[in-house]
Amino acid sequence: MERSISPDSVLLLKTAQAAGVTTAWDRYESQLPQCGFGETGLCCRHCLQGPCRIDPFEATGPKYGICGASADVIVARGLARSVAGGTASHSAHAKHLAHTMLKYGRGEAPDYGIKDQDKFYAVLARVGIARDGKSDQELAGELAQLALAEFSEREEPPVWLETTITPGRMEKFKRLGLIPAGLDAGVADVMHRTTNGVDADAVNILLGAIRCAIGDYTGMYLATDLSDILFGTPTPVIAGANLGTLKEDAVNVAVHGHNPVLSEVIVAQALGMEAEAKAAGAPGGINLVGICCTGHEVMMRHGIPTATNSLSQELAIVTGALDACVVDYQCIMPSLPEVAAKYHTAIITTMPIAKITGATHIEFDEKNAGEKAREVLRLAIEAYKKRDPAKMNIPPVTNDALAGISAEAVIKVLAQVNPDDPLQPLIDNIVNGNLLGVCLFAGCNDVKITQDKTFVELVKALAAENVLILCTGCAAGSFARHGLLTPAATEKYAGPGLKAVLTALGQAAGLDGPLPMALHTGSCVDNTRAASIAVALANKLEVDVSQLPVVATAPEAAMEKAVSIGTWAVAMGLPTHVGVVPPVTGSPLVVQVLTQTAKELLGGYFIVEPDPKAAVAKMVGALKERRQGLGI
Amino acid sequence: MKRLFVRPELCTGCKTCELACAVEHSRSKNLLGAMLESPPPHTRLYVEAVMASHFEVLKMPMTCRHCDPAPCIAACIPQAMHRTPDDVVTNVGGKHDCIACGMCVMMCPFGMIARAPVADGLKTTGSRIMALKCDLCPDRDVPVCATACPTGAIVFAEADEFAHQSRVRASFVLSQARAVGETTMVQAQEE
Repeated sequence: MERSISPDSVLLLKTAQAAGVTTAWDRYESQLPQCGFGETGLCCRHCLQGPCRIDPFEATGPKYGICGASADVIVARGLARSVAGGTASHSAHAKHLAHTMLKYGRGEAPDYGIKDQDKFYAVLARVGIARDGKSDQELAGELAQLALAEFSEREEPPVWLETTITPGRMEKFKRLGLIPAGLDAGVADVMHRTTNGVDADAVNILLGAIRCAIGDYTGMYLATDLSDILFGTPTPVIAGANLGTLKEDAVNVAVHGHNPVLSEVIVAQALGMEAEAKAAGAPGGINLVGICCTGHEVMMRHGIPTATNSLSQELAIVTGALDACVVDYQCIMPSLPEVAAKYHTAIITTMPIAKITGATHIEFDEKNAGEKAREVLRLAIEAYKKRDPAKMNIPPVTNDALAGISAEAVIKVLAQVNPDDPLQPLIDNIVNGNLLGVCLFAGCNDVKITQDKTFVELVKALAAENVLILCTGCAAGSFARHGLLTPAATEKYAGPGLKAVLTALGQAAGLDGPLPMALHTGSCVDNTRAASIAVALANKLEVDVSQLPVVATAPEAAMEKAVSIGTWAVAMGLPTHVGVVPPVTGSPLVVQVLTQTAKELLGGYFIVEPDPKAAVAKMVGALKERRQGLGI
Repeated sequence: MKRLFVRPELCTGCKTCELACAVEHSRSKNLLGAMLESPPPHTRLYVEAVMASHFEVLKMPMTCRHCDPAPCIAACIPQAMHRTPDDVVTNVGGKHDCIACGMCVMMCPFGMIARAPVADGLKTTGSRIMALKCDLCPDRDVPVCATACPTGAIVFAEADEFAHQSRVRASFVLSQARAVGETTMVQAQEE
């Protein structure tokens, strides 16, 4: 199997091999074959009597765990815990932003402020905080308190849920008992009911997982709101992509992870450190690049290039030109210091909950944010001095990418066409068939399949079928690195209807050509931006999201966070494709609930299909079915 | 003489057999103790992965066939590798000691012989390098891999017995196919 089709990854994998650097791909091979009980979800380690496993074959092996749990129960419990892991991650991200905002409200975060007052006031109005002549700082404190209250036990439904979904969906969630008591409460509930001797009904466990995932949606929506208020709502911006954006003559610093709280301050401080970098012998000054979703956060707000995705993060070091990699949390490989040991790269951890043995830890706090950011950059400049030119091998691959197309930016562009009713042109084009529907591309790269291959095949095929493409996180990163976030890609791959729509919107937005073939909607935590567009469409049409011709796909999903996002996408009513088989095949019942029963219950359902061609056919089929339902 | 046979269609790739084999060939003969030993014990069978397609990995437990004639015996310079009266091919307890020359490693068509450090006799410390291969677990009635396999993918049986079981399964499939064929015939006649 090819490891990657990303040209920079392909080149650097060869370099890594020659240099004796072990990467995730090598470690995957050394894991093969992977344990089939784990692969099918038939292994349980939830108590000390285990591990238990169920024989998946019709042989004489065990059909029940020691406690009596069946394959269905064990698989459902495992999946539910993955959803809880993903939800806990997004919730921690959201809470971090809320705490930052709270500190700003108390005057304890001097390097932060309200960057987007319009959005701030819009969010305040949405969540029901009256301004009453209070200062922004006071209001920020109030908003932060309200946000933090979302996480614990509440009597009322979470505010960021109730105020952001369609009334019909809210009604359905209430009826099915799918409203979490609080975002952290949802995680705790799953941990409780999946421990030994609690919930032993697979369907009930799955409902618990869905409830938890609805909390995941809520936390993600909240995180995006607070990020936009603190750091600005993204507007369209052209940035570079690929590892070719590293510069030979500059101090190259990669920001990696997920939360913009630290990276924003690094971006702000880098400008003031240019002279210091030049004095150290780097005429190009400081060159910031992004990896993974922290990268997308600064890409869409500052045009910082996206160097590479999470799966190929080690290859950034293998260029020999990366002077520092500063990380926050999530998707950061523990192997980074080991790879860096063969080069000069400083690996800098910054979060108290995410240290890596062998890395330099500079603990970040909002109070001294600027000073800490300068300390990080100074370490990068020091590392630059130790760079070995003989080991330098920056792949000559770069692409341009249009990023920062937030929901607000989409509406703004649409408003150029119809200022009174921005959504109408989009609806018209769906109704007249210029657009078959909308597809959100999300999720990771997964080492089990050739990097980017499924992403690229799917997006080209769906664009040819006139599907409007939104993308986030590593999906957006993938497209960026293959030159697909460009007007040229629209010209080349989009079907005639999609091309006409993107060209009209491009002209309205004042571009020379069409909008890019895929619209970069944000980092992975920003998937709710895409959801908010779907909700706005549904509300305008007075239908529910589950009736709209909208699908989602995570063709190369890898992380627990992708599992929780996929689960809420299904809960919101979207047919959701996954290109990697999740560990559920050990239970025909769980598979049936996820792929069929969910459709009857929620409208959304999972489509598990590793083969790209078959996946396109199934997604196009789902869109057509929805169109038929609406009578268009 | 019983032999190890494999039913790859039942292998889940969990490698429980590899772990159990290493423990059986350790000094302490239990997992916790084996993990603390130096040199670490070595497995004598291997679960291999074969990439079947873009997204499918097939799993195959590979065991020593105890061939007859055995290329490893023919290749062994010091005549350490030999066949016991129980029909087990081993380099332990032969005419001479294994000298770790690796001839058997090169000759085994299945790659079932490793060359690795092993605890030196009864001494509690110290090690030597030698050729390591399956000895069908002389201390056990049934080799530990066959006992440990949770799905029955590794079977310890007489060749006749194993072949018979395979015939029974194949007959069942054939009879199903015949039943399907008859139904199709009936349908065709009705139409």
